[in-house]
Amino acid sequence: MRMTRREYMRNMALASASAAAASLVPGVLFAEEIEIFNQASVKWDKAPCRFCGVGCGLLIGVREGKAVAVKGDPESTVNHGLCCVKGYHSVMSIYGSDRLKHAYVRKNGKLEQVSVEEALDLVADKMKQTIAEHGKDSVSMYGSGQWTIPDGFVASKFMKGCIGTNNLEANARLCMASAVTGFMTSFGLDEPMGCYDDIEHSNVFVMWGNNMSEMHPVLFSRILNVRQRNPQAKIIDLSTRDTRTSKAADYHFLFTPQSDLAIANGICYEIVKNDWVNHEFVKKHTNFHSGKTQIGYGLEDKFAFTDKPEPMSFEQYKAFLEDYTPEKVEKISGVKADDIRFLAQVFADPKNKVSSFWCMGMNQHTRGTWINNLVYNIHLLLGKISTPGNNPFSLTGQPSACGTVREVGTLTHKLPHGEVSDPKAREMAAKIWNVPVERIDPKPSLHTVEMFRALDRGDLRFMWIQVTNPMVTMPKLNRYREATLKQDRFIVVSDIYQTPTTDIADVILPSAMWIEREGMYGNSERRTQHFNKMIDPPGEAISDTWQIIQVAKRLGFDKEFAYSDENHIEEIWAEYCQFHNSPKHAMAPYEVLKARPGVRWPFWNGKETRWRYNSADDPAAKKEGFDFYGKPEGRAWIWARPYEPPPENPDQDYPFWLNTGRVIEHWHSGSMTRRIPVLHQAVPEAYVEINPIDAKRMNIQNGELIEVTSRRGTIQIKTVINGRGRPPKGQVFIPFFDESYLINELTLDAFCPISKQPDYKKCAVKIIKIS
Amino acid sequence: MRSEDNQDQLKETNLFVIAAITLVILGAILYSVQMIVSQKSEQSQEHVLLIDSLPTDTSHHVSYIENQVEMQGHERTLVEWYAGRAYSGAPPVISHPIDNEMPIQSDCLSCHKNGGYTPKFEAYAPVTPHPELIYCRQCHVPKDSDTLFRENTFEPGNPRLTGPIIPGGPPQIPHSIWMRDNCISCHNGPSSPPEIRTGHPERINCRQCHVPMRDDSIFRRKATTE
Repeated sequence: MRMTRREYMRNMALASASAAAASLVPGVLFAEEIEIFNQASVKWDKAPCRFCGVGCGLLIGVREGKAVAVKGDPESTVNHGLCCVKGYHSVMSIYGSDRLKHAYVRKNGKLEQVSVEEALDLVADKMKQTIAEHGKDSVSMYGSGQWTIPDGFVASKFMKGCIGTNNLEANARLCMASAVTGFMTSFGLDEPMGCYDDIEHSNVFVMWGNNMSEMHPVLFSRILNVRQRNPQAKIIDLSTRDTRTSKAADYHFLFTPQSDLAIANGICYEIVKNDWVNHEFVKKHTNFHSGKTQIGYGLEDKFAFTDKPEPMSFEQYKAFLEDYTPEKVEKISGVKADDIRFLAQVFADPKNKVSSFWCMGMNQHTRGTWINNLVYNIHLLLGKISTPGNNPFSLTGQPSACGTVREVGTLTHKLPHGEVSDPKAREMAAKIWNVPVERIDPKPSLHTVEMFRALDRGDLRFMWIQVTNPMVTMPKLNRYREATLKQDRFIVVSDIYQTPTTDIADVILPSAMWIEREGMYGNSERRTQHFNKMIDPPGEAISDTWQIIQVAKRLGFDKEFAYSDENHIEEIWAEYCQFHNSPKHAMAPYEVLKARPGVRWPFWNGKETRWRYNSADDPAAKKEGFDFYGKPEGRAWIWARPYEPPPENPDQDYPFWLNTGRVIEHWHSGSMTRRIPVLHQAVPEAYVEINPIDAKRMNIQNGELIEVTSRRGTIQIKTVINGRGRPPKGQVFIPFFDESYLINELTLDAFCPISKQPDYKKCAVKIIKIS
Repeated sequence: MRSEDNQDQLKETNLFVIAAITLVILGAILYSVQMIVSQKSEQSQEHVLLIDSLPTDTSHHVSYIENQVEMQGHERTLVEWYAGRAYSGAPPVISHPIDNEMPIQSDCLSCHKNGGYTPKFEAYAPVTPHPELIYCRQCHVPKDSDTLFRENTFEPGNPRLTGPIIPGGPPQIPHSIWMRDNCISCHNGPSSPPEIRTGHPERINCRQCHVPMRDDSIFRRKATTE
């Protein structure tokens, strides 16, 4: 604002007058003074980013009660002040003009606005009535990795500790479950041993089916920085589709979907054959196991599977690997035998420090647990684990998939500490929650896909969905949408915007999002990040935490939910920390979280842990060198897991692979990012990527509408040829963010029998040229 | 208008040159019309008000008379500059078509590292303040559509242009300088908006005189109680 000379003189006079007055009355601010100097009035406060699991530190600029700008937080060691395009524009997702400000109840098929109090009454009444008529296991809650830690904690306490049902799941089942079971079966404890600091210590980066440049861009930039400084640093991309990551990589190997299992075993074969094994490490810190094979795909209702681990010797493991000579792997994967040898060499070279990265490619996989095990095998055989720069690292997709779903344990088999089947874990939970131990059901009930199947069958009558959009994201969507619409099914949806999921809701509750309430997220590197309430939520919107507390109180659990309105987040945090009060998983106290841009657990004796299981850094590791204390014998498990084909392969009728995923501009089902003008205008709608050779053969032009059909559904969608990704011949790729093109009507609900996580990356489709 | 003078002078030269220059000017007009059309009306109004109060005398600005291409019509105004970003400090969108979507960096830096006139887009390329960050598409995305999925009521927290506190004194820096500490990439050169262009680009130690405005409080000595 430019002042005229007269204004300037007047202001100077005012300023000196108020300064003179202030010197007479110290500590008192004068109104005129604020008028003059209130130009840099944007106040900044820290928060983790709302979107992906990287967990960048942001500084949010707030002026006059509104979020107006974003900066990367230079203090955060996650992103060192740099964000991606979603992070920079994240605050705009708060201000879509169609924010849900009030509650709605469906009456005679039409949504009618009611007060939030009335809606909460109805939710509580309906829950009570359903439990009375059909039993406690007829009600369920379905949350997400976007739940804050307090949201997930009160949900667990309410469902498992108060109602006494294990019908509590979260969408992280669809994105992280195989990572969890991979960690559990190999190490006995969930979450990575390493952290992002590994990037600057590594010189070889192996991407396992992971388009990191678009999905975890800030971390990918850190890798690019390392390579700029160190000409020896190499990026190796193993993928089923040519992406921006492939283009940036030094080496790119395209493989047939599902054959990563064979590639990982092939690398181990070479390591063993050439005797590159770190025998000292393997002898001291590992042992070998095999499990069941031909384990199925979970396509049928009430599918059940329990693995049976059998110990095996190194010699037996060696014999198992005979099926994975580079030549045999080439036949399965399409990756040349010499390239398999090269990969093994790069991993094994003592000069190299190797980081493996993966996310949905390995987790959304009908053998997801197995491929996680197999990548750990490589690192364990070489002893390249739990040391700076040498680590397998499982990335996550949601801001608190780790913090809430995995650490609080909002999954059917979990409690905040341990599993429901463990009497000790139940006792601990009952004591901290102050509930009778008999109330906690020792039997896990329904995992996510089975939960929606139970809704279809009628075993389940009530579902409360918070912060997620299953009517876009469930595989084989048509079946599960029809399930929600059946008679006598009651669906409550808490969200910030109308989505395809609120379309099927009987009650919609308006939620306060992100910085409109206080909370914590936990990112992929065990970092817990606190954020303050910075602005008011619109209308009657309240936080998901407070919604659950209010319904629990209405069901008579006043004593269990006697939190105060002002300090409930701090109170919940203190209660939750009691579950993890040991050097294996201790969390930072509330004041520390408030002061710092995130703290990595275990936080013990005032120090955070960067490398778990390494006795030099991990307070719980007691043995010399390394201590894999998650397993009773203190050793990590190397697993013999074979290659098994996917349940549905391209054939004569459906000759193409369908691959689904994301783009950098959009996040999850797009309900937030599509309301951000910059992001929407960059990628306004979904499309199908097709290989130029296939397109030419079928005479399909760029931008032409084509029909993509699987055995489960069909959509018409525009083609992109030579866009930002290029599928190989015989594959098409469609992003899932666009609710106008529900690609999950085509996908298959097959899942990993161990993790119960569906495979969104592989099913068979056909393509028809319209016109 | 300068262009008329130019044309008078050029009458004696051959027809080909006239045609070429007319084309360039036409292109520039089309370009600026397109830029103005794409702005949101609310946002531009605010900035128009700010700009109205700016000094009209720009005689102290650097003269680019020796540039081969006529500056006029190629200059971006501050309104246009803001139209390309959601708020001050947000990464600007890519305003031109991109040939290849796949590489992370494309050829961005070949024009945006040092700037200069780009005949293809008939514009001066803005200079990036952070050429060391090579993954451009992490933050900068193209604009492929003018539509919205839903309306958005976000209001940007743009800094107000500040004049000097004391007449003739150096103005404060009203924005964050994180990742934008290379001042001349926006405050000098033909792609910089004239409203924020420095009059003395030869003085390279900007922060000798210009300091960031980080806070709106003023110093007050605490009262001594004893």
